[in-house]
Amino acid sequence: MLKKSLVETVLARALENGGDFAEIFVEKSHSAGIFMSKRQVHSSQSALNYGAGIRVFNGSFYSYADTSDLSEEGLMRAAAQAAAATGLPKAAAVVKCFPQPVENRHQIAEFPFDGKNAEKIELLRQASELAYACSDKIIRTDAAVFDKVQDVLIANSDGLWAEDRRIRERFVLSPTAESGGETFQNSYLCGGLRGSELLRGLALEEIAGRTAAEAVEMLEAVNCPAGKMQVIMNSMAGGVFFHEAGGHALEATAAAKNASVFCGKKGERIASPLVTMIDDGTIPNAWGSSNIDDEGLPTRKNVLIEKGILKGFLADRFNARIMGVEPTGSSRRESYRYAPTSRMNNTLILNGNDKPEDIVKNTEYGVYAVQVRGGSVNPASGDFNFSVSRAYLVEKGKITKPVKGAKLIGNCVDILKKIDMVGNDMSVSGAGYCGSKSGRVPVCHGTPTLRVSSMTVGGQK
Amino acid sequence: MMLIGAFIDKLFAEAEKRGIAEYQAVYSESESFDLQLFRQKIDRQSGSRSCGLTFAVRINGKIGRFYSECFAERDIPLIVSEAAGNAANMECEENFFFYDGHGAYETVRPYCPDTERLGRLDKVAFLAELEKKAYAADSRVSNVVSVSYHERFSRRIMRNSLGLDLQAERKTARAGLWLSATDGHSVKSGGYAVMFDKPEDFETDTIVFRAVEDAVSRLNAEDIVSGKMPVVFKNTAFADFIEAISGIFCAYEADSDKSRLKGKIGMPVASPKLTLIDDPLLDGGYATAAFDDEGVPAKYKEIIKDGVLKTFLFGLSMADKYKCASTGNGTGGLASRIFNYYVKPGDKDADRLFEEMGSGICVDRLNGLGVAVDTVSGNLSVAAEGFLVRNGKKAAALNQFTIACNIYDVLKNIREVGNDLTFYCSSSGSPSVLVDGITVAGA
Repeated sequence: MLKKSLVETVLARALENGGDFAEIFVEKSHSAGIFMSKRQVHSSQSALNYGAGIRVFNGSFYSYADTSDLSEEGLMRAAAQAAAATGLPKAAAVVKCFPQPVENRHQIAEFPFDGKNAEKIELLRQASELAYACSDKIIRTDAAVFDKVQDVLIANSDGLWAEDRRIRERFVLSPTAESGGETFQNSYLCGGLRGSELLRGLALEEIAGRTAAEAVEMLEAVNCPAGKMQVIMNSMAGGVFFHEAGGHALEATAAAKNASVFCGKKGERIASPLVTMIDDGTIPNAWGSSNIDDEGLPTRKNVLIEKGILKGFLADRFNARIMGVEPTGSSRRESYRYAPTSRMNNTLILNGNDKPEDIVKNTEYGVYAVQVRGGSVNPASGDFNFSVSRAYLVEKGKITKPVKGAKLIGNCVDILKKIDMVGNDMSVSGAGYCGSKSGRVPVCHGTPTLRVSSMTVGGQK
Repeated sequence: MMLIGAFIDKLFAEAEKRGIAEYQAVYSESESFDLQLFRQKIDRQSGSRSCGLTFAVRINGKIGRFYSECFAERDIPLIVSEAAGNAANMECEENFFFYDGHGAYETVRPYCPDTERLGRLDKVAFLAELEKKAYAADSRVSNVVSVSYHERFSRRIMRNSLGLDLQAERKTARAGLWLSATDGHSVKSGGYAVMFDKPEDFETDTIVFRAVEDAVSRLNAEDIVSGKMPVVFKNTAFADFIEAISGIFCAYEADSDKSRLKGKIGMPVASPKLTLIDDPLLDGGYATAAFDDEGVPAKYKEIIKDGVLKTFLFGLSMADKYKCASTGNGTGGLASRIFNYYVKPGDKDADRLFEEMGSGICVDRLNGLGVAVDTVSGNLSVAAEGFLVRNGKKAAALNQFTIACNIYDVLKNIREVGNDLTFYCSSSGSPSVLVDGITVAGA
């Protein structure tokens, strides 16, 4: 994307005020989205994002400068700005970078652009028609496809030079059902580090039929009960639960500043012995994966909690030096406009021994959450919340009826210890975005069906 | 890189060359500067310079757009092709328009920090003082999580083939203090932020007092007893609520059956105590602007007046569909936007609302609101923080709990509106509001 000699000059300029480490992240992204509502395309957008972010470390300080001007002048100005922030006297620096091979673990079959719009629109139309055909109660469908090709170059003063291309595709189908004044909008979402093969390979008939049928079923949903009760979560709900209740407080972003409830607890029990939690950026073609992180390190499988014991945090290069640990290959950013920091990729809970049906059978009274819309957490206090959009009531060991959505809340410190059943049916799902300090990044989850013995459900009755 | 005016001229020439009659360019550039302090030392400093251009073409009544941060002459054909391709993809029945700039543009005075005083302020010393004083203010302060300063300057240019030629500039500055406090059993966090447009925003004692109070007042909390009860939403919390539901006033949302207010213009949809305003012309407002994102002159409007729905928010496309004028809330697409959007204050002090309520709870923070609202059904279940109110007086703090309600019922169940309208670092504002019949759940 840029000449090596120019990058080396820019990095040397960034170190001229005495920083001990300099890095550049260069990005060229092409993205496009097509949105269909009620059988018609109502929005078609595309964009070219282009720029660089330069970071300089000096001990426990770092500065960052970003620019959308990739000319030599623009880059040198950003480098000078990042360098000046160190406030140290001038010192000459020489940087040499050595291109390193990046193993591509995520094979893409079809480039998503190049005249594919007509085909994408046709597939969105097919998906919509299939959802309408499922029931006359489906009064509206929304469908969308989003593609992004992101080329990145990361180089630093330690000599690293790594380039990568990330191609992501994401598909959404949202049928809305209506009857007797009740309405429910359901949604199906999938995405991957994939090209056009993602959309083309979808079993649209099955997906549209199921998503529409779930929307219709929810028209019969009763108000969700309120109060503390047993909560069962399927893979999707469990993923968001662990992302909020566990993952964020295990990111060095919070931990390096003593702003996580799990600070100082490495080696201690923070969760039920049934819980082994891994963040894995290497899963082939998964939505939250990449070959290298946004600091140029290969992504890897990081064990965060093993049988309930806290094993480590997710650490980026800067926070790793503050915490005296190694970076974990999980430093991420939305774009060149953000300095990177430790973030989750694909967060997994390993299988337990319970059969999912036994978890239901052993539940006297509670809520079975099957679809969520997202949540948030305050890592400093540990208070988290997430919104369930679709759930069922479980009474005397049986799923009895659908219930309307509700907020589920808790505190990280005690809720992870309350996981009392873990299924043997782990699957990877979700294609969401997580918004935090370094912007919005793609994440997904994989958990088996699991149960929390007691959790506050914010129902309507 | 060529100058932006010349680049836009070349884009326009390329569009003309391809026989495209209507086109528009919206260019924005910004510069920002951020400082963050930790343990009396700046641990992060950042600066940003960015620019981007959205080029749009109108072909057969449909508009296609392409956003680019690359201003190389060789990319001009790509930008025009992508925009034209996006216009060709459009199938919806609605038509889209560029605006020709007719009508009167008000002279507005948007929010601007006190730049003269800010220029004299030693930001590093200011942040260091905030951190130091926060630790000294209360022994229960366990960790100052973040002390930060941010400033930004941005400029926007809109030009099109119909003669529109507008420009706007905006300056912002903000500082914030976020901390945790502990009572030995649990950790609670709180904070306070300022925008440097009021004299007290420069007073570290005031900022520290408010941030520390926000955290320590949550300590020694009790678990709430679940049930249905009246709730006083503190001004900042109710401002977050009305912002989260603002989509229900968007003409496109109503047209798409995503708002239950469809067909209810002129009908009561809220308590007679509620008047909801969108005022782009508000003096010193955080979203004050003379025109919307389509270049249409912006204007004051009451969305709800004394409980009666007066208007939806229209841009040019939906205004064409409903044969009415744009309300100056256009985004360029089907959706609409809000500016300074607020609940008109009543005449009672917030404390009087507690007396009016007698027993219930006060909610001063809503967590996870963004994903909690379902505007189609109106169901809302959200995490909340606050305290008990007993016999009309503030009582114990509460551990995080949930509140559940229907947003359309909340509007109707407003019993009283306070007089403490505030815009807390946001263009959405509200006074404190007393609402009946909220389902509350906790331990």
